[in-house]
Amino acid sequence: MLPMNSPASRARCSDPRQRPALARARAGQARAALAECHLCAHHCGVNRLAGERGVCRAGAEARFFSAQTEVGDELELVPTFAVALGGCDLRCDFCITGAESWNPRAGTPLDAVTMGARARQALENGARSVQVLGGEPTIHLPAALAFVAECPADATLVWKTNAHGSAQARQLLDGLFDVWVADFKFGNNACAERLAGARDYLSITRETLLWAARHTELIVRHLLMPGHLECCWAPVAAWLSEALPGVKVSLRPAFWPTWYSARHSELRRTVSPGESARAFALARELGLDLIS
Amino acid sequence: MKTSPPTCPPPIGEKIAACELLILPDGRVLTHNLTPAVAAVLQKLAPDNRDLPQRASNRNTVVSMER
Repeated sequence: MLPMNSPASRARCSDPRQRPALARARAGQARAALAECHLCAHHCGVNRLAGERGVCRAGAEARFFSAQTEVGDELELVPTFAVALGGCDLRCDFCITGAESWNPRAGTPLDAVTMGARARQALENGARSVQVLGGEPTIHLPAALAFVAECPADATLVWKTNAHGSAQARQLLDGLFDVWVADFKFGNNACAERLAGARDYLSITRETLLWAARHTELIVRHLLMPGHLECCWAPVAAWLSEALPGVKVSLRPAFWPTWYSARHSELRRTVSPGESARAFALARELGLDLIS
Repeated sequence: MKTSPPTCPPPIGEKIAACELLILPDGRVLTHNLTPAVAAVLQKLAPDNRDLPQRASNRNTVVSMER
């Protein structure tokens, strides 16, 4: 397998000049796909255009609850103009934006042209990239792609995802984003189902990450959770070292006990300095390419 | 004396540009949606932090100017 740091392995948007037109065409396809929605791995198959709702409860309209220039993401991406869309297909009890991520009706309707102009202005003011996130943007693929069509063709575009999208969604995204920042949250299916309501989490996430590593520049993000070093971080780290050697890994120790974290006794606190140190030591032992 | 009728909460819309901080009892500060200006403030509080200078360096050009 190609080390992810090699130039040959990096497949940024192949021809940026074609991106707006391609994104516009794909946005139309994505909207049509809402008639029997399989954009995420839940595969609800509901007709969102007719008002039916699946696990994410999202309709056909995307809303955003935040759009601003931020510097808290990975250093190579910041400052980034980050557009956060409401609604998500996962139900992580520890979600730091739970009120908006669990409610696709939160926020303001996304107007792609207006937001594209804001992105352009942010870039002119010094932002290095434009990031689409959520919630989970995959469930709002039509609007996200319409927004891409309005962004400057040469902008560095970042897709921040929970890696729980479907193959159909990946096909629609192929070639449009320069960088994927993808979560690998859980190291086993039991924790994923208990904390996020996600079944068959490992195989779905691994499939997404392997695809993303082949099709884009990938950064894998893991939010270190208190009490989940052995059951979640250790197996995630081991798999990354074996299956995606050289992939960029962003280990985030700043767990914030919020939303419904208190439903789970181990999530009622932050990550201790000792846990954090052990997690980073394990990453170094496994030779992971940690980035800040 | 008349009292005003109870008002409905406003609809949840786009949040104002915001950065959230969680200050822990041991002095650690966790951030969410970190903006360049807040990164600059934190840099003054933690001058030894290796990442903050890069995060704060663009504060003069991108501070909430795209609204």
